[in-house]
Amino acid sequence: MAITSSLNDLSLAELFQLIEYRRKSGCLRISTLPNSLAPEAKTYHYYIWFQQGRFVAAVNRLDGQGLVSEITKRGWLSQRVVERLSSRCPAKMPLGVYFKIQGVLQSEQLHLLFSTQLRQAASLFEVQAGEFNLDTNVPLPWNEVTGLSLRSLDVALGALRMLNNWQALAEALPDPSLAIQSRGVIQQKCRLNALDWQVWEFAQGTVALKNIARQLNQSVEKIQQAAFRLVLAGLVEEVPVTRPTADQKIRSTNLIVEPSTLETVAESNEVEKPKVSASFLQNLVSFLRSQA
Amino acid sequence: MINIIAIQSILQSFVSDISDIQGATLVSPDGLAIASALPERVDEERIAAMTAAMLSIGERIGRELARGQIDRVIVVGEKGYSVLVNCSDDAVLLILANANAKQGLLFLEIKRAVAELVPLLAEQPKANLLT
Amino acid sequence: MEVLRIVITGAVGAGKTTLIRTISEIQVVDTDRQATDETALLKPTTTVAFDFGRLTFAPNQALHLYGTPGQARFDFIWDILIQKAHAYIFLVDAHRPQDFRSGRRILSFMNQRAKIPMLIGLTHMDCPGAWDLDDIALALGLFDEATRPAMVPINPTQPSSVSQALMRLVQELMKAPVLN
Ligand SMILES: Nc1nc2c(ncn2[C@@H]2O[C@H](COP(=O)(O)OP(=O)(O)OP(=O)(O)O)[C@@H](O)[C@H]2O)c(=O)[nH]1
Ligand SMILES: [Mg+2]
Repeated sequence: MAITSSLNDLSLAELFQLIEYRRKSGCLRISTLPNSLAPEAKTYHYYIWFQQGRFVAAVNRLDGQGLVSEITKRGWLSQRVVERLSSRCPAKMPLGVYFKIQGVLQSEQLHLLFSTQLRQAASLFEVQAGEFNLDTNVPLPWNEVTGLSLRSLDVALGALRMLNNWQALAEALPDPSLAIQSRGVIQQKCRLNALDWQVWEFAQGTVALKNIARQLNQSVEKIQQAAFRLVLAGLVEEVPVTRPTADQKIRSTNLIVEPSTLETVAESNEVEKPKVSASFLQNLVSFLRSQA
Repeated sequence: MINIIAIQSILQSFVSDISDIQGATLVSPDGLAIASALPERVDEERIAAMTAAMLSIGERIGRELARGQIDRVIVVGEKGYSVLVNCSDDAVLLILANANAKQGLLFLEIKRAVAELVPLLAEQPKANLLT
Repeated sequence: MEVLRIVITGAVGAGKTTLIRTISEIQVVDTDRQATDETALLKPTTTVAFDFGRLTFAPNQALHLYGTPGQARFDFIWDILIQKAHAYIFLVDAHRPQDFRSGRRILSFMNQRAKIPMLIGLTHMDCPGAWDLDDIALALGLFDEATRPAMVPINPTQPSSVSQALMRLVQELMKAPVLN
């Protein structure tokens, strides 16, 4: 099955989350498009491969020569050796693994190659205009695979930690008027930074992000970004504020309309609803059944 | 295109010239603000949506109860008035006034403001044809 | 008169108004207005207050259906309607991933305001590019299959499909302690 959409509709970060949780395998093709910032830009294609929800490779070509060209570029092996060896690589064995078995590449070298691929994937998180297609029905290009892999979510969280330009994610960030609520799961191994954990302390759904920013003396954007990472990591969800915080209670006297009225009444407002009888529901079901 | 700047200035002077009027906003029927002169800290986007919703409910009530074309919807509270007036097919005017406002006078002023706004809302501004 | 109030919610264009029109016995009280925001690219009109439909299925027993607007600027209406609802259906257009984000926000709003029986209806499943159920669940932030709400495909344009979905919602109601 394939998923196609625009990066404006679904950010790469959210897509990686989907891939991780749904343990998807296959190829994510990303095509960058010219945008308002770079109207002259060409279209570039990138291919990221996943296996069982894990990131395994990223290349910008489909000729299967991405990995070997990195190896020869670094002068680790000659073109001749690479060609001879890769022709002997057994089917369904990552080329990186084969080279290691053959003793021509060390683990550290494979790690370097893998991080190069990771960096390439991470750089795509800044792409503002682009399309993607996730095709889960294509086999892995074993030639491009080092044999190393990383949880897709960790790739995304890692990329977001280094992200300089958040423009591409503007729509995805939680609104400053929202709060975060813990999902009640603890994942220690998440790649989060110190600020993220500070924000996590507010995950009771009672303080709006803009007020967290004030309390932590940070910009609202930084807090939105931290909250987004926490949402992505599955630790919290964004929710409307449940109780007014101190500063929301301050009201100007002649103000006719209260922008935050909804927030303040949310909990007390549960209306006592007349109950419906079992026979009522029975009748309804039989009626609906006759219509269905 | 409608002349937003002209509309804005009509609303602005309407609010500043008449003492008991506290705010005014012109809203599209689907709840987007076209121009506003609202008190500070009032959430324009929210008010615009509420205005559209309120008028549409008012119109439905009017239709169900055969009240004919709905001219305005009025909400009176102890601290003042909210008056919604149908300006054209494309715009609803919301006026906020405090409790001191005299209702008859208020409606008169609103009527005057609407008369100023309507030509600006028309596709081909009539004002231009006259001059 | 015994009345069950059901709210139909979801993002713009999910099919809320359509669903109520399909099932209501009275001419639906809709408050659709010409859309002037990005909704206009999708369809000409959009709900600005609410839809109201009714289904009388026995003497003195009726279903009241309320459809919400989809845009977040109308969240005060979401609040008014959900407070009085016995149950709700959240609709999501399966072939418009661009709306999943706003859908997720509506869902979390509703979930916070009212802990009542509910159902997620996937519409437009017949359209090309429709996502499958489990992917949509994730996009809506529902990570845990065991605890997530029931999810069913609905075609709001088809009376039988709407009836089936309502039956499924009644099942949810029967599980819940709203019975006398
Ligand atoms: N093919 C197909 N069309 C559908 C389906 N569900 C709804 N539609 C169509 O999609 C459109 C939905 O429009 P509305 O019912 O106005 O949507 P709404 O949710 O009320 O939208 P707002 O009030 O603007 O938030 C209508 O044109 C329906 O005919 C479906 O399952 N399949
Ligand atoms: Mg509608």
